[in-house]
Amino acid sequence: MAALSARAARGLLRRVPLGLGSAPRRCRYKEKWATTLPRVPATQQALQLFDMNYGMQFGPLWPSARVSLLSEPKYGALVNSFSRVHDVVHDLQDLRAADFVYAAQNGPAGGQGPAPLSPNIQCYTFPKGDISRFPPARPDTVGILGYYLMDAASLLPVLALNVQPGHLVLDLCAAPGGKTLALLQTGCCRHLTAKDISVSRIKRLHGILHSYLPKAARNNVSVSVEDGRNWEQVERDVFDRVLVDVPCTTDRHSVMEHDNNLFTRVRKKEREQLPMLQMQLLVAGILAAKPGGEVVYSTCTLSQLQNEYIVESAIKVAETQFSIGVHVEDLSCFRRLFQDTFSFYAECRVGELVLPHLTANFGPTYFCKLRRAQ
Amino acid sequence: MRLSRQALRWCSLAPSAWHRFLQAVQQCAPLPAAITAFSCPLLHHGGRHLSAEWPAGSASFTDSSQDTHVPEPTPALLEAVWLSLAPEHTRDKTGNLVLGNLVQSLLDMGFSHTQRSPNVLRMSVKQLKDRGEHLRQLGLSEGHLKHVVSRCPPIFTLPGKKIDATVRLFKEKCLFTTDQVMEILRSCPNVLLKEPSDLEYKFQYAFFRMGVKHKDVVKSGFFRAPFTVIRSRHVFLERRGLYQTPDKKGQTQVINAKLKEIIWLSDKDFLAQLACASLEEYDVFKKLLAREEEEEEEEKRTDSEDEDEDSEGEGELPDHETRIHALHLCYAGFGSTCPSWWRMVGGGGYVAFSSAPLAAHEIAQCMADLSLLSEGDFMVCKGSVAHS
Repeated sequence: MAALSARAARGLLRRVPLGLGSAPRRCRYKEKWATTLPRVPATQQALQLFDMNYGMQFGPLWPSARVSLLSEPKYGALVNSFSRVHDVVHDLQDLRAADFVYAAQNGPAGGQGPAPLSPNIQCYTFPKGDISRFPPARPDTVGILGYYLMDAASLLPVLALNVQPGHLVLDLCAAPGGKTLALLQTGCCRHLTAKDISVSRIKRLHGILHSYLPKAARNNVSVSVEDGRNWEQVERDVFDRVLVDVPCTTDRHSVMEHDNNLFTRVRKKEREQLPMLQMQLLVAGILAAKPGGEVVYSTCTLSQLQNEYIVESAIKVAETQFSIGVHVEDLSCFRRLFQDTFSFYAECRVGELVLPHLTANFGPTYFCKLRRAQ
Repeated sequence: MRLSRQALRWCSLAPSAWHRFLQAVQQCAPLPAAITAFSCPLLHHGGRHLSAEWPAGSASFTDSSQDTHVPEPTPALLEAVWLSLAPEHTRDKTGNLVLGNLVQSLLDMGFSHTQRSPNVLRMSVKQLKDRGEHLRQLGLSEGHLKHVVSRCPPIFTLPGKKIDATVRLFKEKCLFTTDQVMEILRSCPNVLLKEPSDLEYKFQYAFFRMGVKHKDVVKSGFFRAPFTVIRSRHVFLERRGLYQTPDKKGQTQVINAKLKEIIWLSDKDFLAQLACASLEEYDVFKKLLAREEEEEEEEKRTDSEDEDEDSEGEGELPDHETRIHALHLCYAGFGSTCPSWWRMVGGGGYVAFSSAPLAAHEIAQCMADLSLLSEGDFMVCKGSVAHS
């Protein structure tokens, strides 16, 4: 008198971490660690919190962002100028991808005054609506990889930083190293200082530098493991450009991956202390910048609490505690410049936000540019 | 009836023997005026040689030497033709008028759809009769039968076992009531052409994954809709946060759209009214989903190969998992035809049977693991039940 086969039922439920969309297999909990299905998996916890917060924050825009976060992300190929660029570019163009940076600067919106972008960065993407994938990069004859696959939206903070030749650049929270690599592509860094608090992630950064840079090009890079929050120890008033790419709730990762997920019960405290950590790091970045220097703050979350609020609190702290004036730079031109590649949110109080959208499944990326007063 | 036996004997004759047959028919049964212009398209099949136009009193034939393409008139065909000509002879020995109507339907369909289901005409009269009886017992009375046959002519040529297997699947595995099964056969006769395992998977998707109840599955014509459309629309809604699989208490935090709407709205209306999305988004989503499914299938295949090689390690299931094989979940709802003692569970409860002696706590563990129930939600029936 068998009825609905439990095996099949379980099979169907298994494909779905309890209520989530049919997520790819990698999203299931690791069977070897868990003896029973977790009551509420971290990914579902994250999704519920996001539904509450972002549903209110974004209203009718949230469902489109939500379905994008739960679907396969789109990648761009950052061209490695230390490789055989001509061949690499040729291969990428054969795949019918195009350099979105070049297209933006030479498109109709680019004509409206010089866009202050960091130079020499080339990143190839497929057009809107095209879900093709890039093949993994292959090493050339000297073992250097031709391109680095990354979320194209995370190049925008690097472009916004507007690194110019001879600059001293600080990359706080540098690991795993995608943005660091992009900074080095500009060829403008007299010296690049990369810091991160985590030893294992710094190792990955080293790995990237090894795979992409010839030995000679690594001379002007110093990598160290440090807790960037410590305002006492930070080198003050030194850097022309500072990139503060803070740890955040990494929205996309949090709804898709169980590994290393911030929304587990044990990490609740860590999660609650995030905004404080972010604010401290940004203030440290401001302190490290020289007068007239520029600081770009970036995250990969949609949350206002981790984006605009942090920028606003850091500016206040810099003013009240350190008597440092900080001015927010307007980057609204980015929305027009890159509208063919990304989907932007128009209502940020300060800074710019790339919203994930199925036709352009990059992001989420928030970035805001600050200039330290003279 | 004597004539029908004669007709059967003539079944093996060459088509040119039609001539004699028809003459014989005319002699035995006076042709009503209305039938004089009867024309059998079958006989035009392949060759336009034989025309069974029967103007009263004569039968004309063209040269039959080119009739190699015309199919042999089968006994069924002859019988059917005979039956159509003489309405008063439609009763067979048992006086079963239904057979006559059945064959009438067959004629209406069978003749005009010969191209699509020539197999029908290769069946014997007995087979036709038995099949008709079988379908009638399943609950397809005359009017319905005609409707079903018109939508799914091959219904007559399917092996009886197939029909039985499908009906058994619906009743025993999917737990539809007899009425519901009949309604499904009436509204979606195409289910008889599908593999039972596909049907089961499709049903389980609706029941477990979407949380749709039996009556909604039946009412919505679910089995008529292509599975890819159902799945892509459902997952699209779900990922947008507009559809939720009900939890073990059957509750959701959003109001799920009705299955009928999800399936049958046009793309435009679905996107405008339910999903609130653009067509571009939906197009991209469908492509992404298709690719995801493809890659999951491949992963499953390679994983099952790996598991075979592993003796211990990541792929191993804990012990109690294997016992779930032996555990069958039955949904005891109101009105289901189940033994009286099931009704102790009340309307809407789950009853667990095990064909291996599991302890009560083990059953409880299995059920909790499936996250379908909390431990207090069900009754454990002592003893094992060994039903097939």
